[in-house]
Amino acid sequence: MAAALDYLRPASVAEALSLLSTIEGAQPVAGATDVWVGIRSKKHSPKALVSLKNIPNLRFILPDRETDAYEGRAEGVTGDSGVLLGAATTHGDVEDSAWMKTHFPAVHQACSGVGSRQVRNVATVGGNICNAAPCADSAVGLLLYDATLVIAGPAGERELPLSEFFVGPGETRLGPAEILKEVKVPNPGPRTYAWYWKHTRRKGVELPLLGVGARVTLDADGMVEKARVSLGVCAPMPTRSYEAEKVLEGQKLTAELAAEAGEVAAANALVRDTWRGRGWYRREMVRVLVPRVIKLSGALS
Amino acid sequence: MTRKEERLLPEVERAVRAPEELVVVGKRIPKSDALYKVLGQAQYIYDMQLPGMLYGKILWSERAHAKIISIDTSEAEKVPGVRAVITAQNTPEIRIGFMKDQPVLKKDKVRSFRDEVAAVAATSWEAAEEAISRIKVVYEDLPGIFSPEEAMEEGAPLIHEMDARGKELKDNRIRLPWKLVCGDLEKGKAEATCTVTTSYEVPAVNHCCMGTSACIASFDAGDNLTIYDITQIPSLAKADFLEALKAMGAKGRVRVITPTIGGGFGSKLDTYGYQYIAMLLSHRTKRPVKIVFTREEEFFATSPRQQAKFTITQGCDKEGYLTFREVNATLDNGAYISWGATTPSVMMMPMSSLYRVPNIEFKSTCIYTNNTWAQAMRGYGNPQATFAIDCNMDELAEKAGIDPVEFRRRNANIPGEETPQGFLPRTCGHRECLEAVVEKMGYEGRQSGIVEGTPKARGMGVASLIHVGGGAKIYRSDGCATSIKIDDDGWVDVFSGSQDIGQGLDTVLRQIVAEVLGFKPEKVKIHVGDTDTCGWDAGCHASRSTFVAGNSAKVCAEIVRAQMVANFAAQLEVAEDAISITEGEVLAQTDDPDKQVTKVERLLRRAHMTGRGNTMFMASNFWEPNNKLLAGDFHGNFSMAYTYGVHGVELEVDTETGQVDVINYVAAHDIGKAINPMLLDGQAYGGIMQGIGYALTEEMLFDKGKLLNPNFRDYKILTCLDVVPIEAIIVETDDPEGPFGAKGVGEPGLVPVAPAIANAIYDAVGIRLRRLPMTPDRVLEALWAKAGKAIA
Repeated sequence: MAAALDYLRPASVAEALSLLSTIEGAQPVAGATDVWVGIRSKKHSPKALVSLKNIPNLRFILPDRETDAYEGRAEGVTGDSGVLLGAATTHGDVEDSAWMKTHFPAVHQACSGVGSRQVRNVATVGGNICNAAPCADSAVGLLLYDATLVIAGPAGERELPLSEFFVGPGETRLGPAEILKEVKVPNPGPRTYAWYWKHTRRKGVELPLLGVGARVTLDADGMVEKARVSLGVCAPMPTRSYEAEKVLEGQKLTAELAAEAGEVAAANALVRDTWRGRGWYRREMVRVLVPRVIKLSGALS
Repeated sequence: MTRKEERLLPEVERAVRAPEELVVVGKRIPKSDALYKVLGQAQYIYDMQLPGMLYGKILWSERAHAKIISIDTSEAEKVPGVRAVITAQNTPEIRIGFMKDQPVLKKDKVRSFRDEVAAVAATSWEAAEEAISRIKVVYEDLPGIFSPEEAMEEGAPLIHEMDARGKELKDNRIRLPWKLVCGDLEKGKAEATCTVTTSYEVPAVNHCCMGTSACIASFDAGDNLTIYDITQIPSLAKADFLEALKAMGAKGRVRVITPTIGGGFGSKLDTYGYQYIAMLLSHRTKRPVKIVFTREEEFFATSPRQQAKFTITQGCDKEGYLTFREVNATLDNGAYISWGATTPSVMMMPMSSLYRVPNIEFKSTCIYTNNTWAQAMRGYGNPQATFAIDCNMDELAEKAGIDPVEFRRRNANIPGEETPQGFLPRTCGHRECLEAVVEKMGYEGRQSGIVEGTPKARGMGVASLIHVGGGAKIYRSDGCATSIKIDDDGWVDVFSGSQDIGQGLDTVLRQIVAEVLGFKPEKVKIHVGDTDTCGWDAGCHASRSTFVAGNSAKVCAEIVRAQMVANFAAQLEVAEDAISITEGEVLAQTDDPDKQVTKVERLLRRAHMTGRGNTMFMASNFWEPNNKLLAGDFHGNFSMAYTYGVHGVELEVDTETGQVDVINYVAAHDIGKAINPMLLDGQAYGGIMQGIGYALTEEMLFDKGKLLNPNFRDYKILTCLDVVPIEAIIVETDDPEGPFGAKGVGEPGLVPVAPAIANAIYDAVGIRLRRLPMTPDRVLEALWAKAGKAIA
């Protein structure tokens, strides 16, 4: 049981930011599914929790779903068929969005596999990103689409590519008085194929042994114009395999090329032995699963 | 094959019952408590609140093995709301476990991370927790021992310097010599033309009860204890608690009451330190004290199925008949003795009596270590032993050049044959189970190996089980008491000494009593779990409840029925044999049309309320099975019936990831007679899923005695999304001793799952996995080893 702590419920982003900057050791929370585990196990002892749940306009999938009070914030921001996710959008919201499934299948898959449905009903995409676990499913999915984070702070808003956000396990470039407000995902363009695979020991309530995402965008001639390979649990943070991406880009996509990308990703993976999984096995799974995920994306057919 | 015919028993007389005679028994009736559980109305101990109740927390050892130099509780006592802080220094010593090697609160020394060092009662959980965090304990570390091998090394430090009687101990071996010899091992070896020796290893696994350990202890002004508890053994727990009361100098009585229990699986077969701590705290404060384990405590401070290693050799003759079986087992008992140390007594059952094998030697040693101490878990030692036996069976079959199914067919158990250990199974559907599974799976036409164009390989495997199905005489009594009363509106209350831990005994007894009385089942209510109102019972264990409590209830109901029939016959002025009662109506063979059909309530009321009657119908009965305690050499018929089964699994191995996916599961159980096929399916599904977890995913991981994965994130119990297609086949052999022919089936569903899966993996990809769980990395490692590829 934790020591008593304040639970504050600001009604706006500005109020939340002001609370965070005035209360030392205040921790922003949304679904709190990770934060509470940390508090209960005494890994974290925040002085206060600042809930973002009551702030309007933080839970939406644009253009698929808007919050009632939304004021046209994202007009033109993401371009056609890009997506703007409110940070308090739950994994369940994404899971339930047929639109996300169609346009951003890898994000949809990543979000649909987090925890259990009960967890997904409250756990938010923004929380998953800010918790910065090496296995964060939604981050691994979003890395494929060059997502950008919209961060609100005392000095206004700033944007930061997701790929630059993580510093280490549980560590990010989010300042103590900042909150993640939105996740902006550009239109990946036509002929884009993407998939996310969560390699697990069981089918539910599970962290991945390894999370593997792959996306390829082909040009009109069928050559790989842009490739993204992202990995969870392969480094101290969700990461891209730039080496594997290089193997794919500018080439004609074949099963052999996909296998080569797997080899290169595996060779460069920063896996290590932990009691949760052995390094050699994780490395081998990168080798095996990267080409499989490319194949599952449909880009090869 | 007739070589053992001379040992066959005479054919037992079977009661002949046409199935259509049964109105309630044999029907798929939903569990009596299902509605209440689904609606959240079932009352668990976590829901209970008593006036003035305090909250108790335990300070667990921070060391695996250390001397306690001092305990300073002064800061804890200052925390507002704290009512008592207890240690071994300020409380009477209570020793627990059947060999009494454990004091509830540890005084001089801790021997594991789950040793209780101190405890607090306070007016809130928060205050209790705060106080616990302020207790200062100074330890002096001792070298820890975390495996039986280390524990048995020359000069290894002693975990216990002396036994409970003060006798000095020389080493860490537990003085329980488990040795079973049947037939003539050397003769069996001489007869064998083919032998295989293999070794197997199984991990510690947790019961993972959804309801964590909890109790509320409450003393009244007369020093009488009422303890709300979640025990599987109300009568035996009461006896344990009474003993503790004596040690505490309390002269009162003990009442054990169990609310709804959130799972047992053997975990509640003993009494634990926390129950005595709640008693001590309550006695000290004169207030009710509640203790509830967190999930982490439930993982590290309750007793798991233990880690064990087996080395087994079996041999067969040139026709493929087993000639001998020789097994050595080493069990990591942990720091103290509970029932886990007696699991070899149940391992003996499959060792001696699974498949027909005349010459046997089984030896097992339990070793003290500084790991968590072991307990009973579904199947007791049976799943561990069967993993060794039935995997080795496949290896022997292969070496002998016989198909694994055909090999089992030749060696299958048969009814009426005394087994080498002296069991007398009057019914045995082993062969029927085998044939049913083989047919249902399409075993004969199976296509094993790589599925073309994929990295996946398919395979099928089978394994068998024997388990006690007619009680198990472990204590001097293996009986059960039942009282039944019927009120004048036809409502029936059944007070059974037995216990329902979610397995559905309440429903099974309801069906049995309703059947005998001729009442509708909804008129019958089962009461268990109150030692003031329910009679004695040996507890809910050994798959005995349907058989023993069922027989007890059946006989009791027959007595009440006879009382009613005599009375109704007089009321209706017909002979007793002209009366029958069915579905709540009394049918009389008489020419008087007014008397031919009467609602039973009418006759009951008339019996009670009219001048000619003033009769109520009630009876009590204690039913003791006719089984025997095992003799000193562990021979004897300790159960009145034996349950058999065969499981078959079809699975897919991903040869690139090592992932094993069960595609289809078929399980046939000979349970004598299904009292309720729906509950039986449930027992099979639950046992099989728990078994798949044992086989593929579950493992308690320790680092020098410290549990690394005390939560559901890292302890991989399977989820509802992991449920595989399961077909549960019921084989009915109508046991002459069982209630309506039934045998017990609580544990069997888990027993042969792991070997069936291991055998199917071999069938698919040709690798033998001899260590559980068979995780993807271990599967892949074995595949690489087979291909001559080294891991980095």
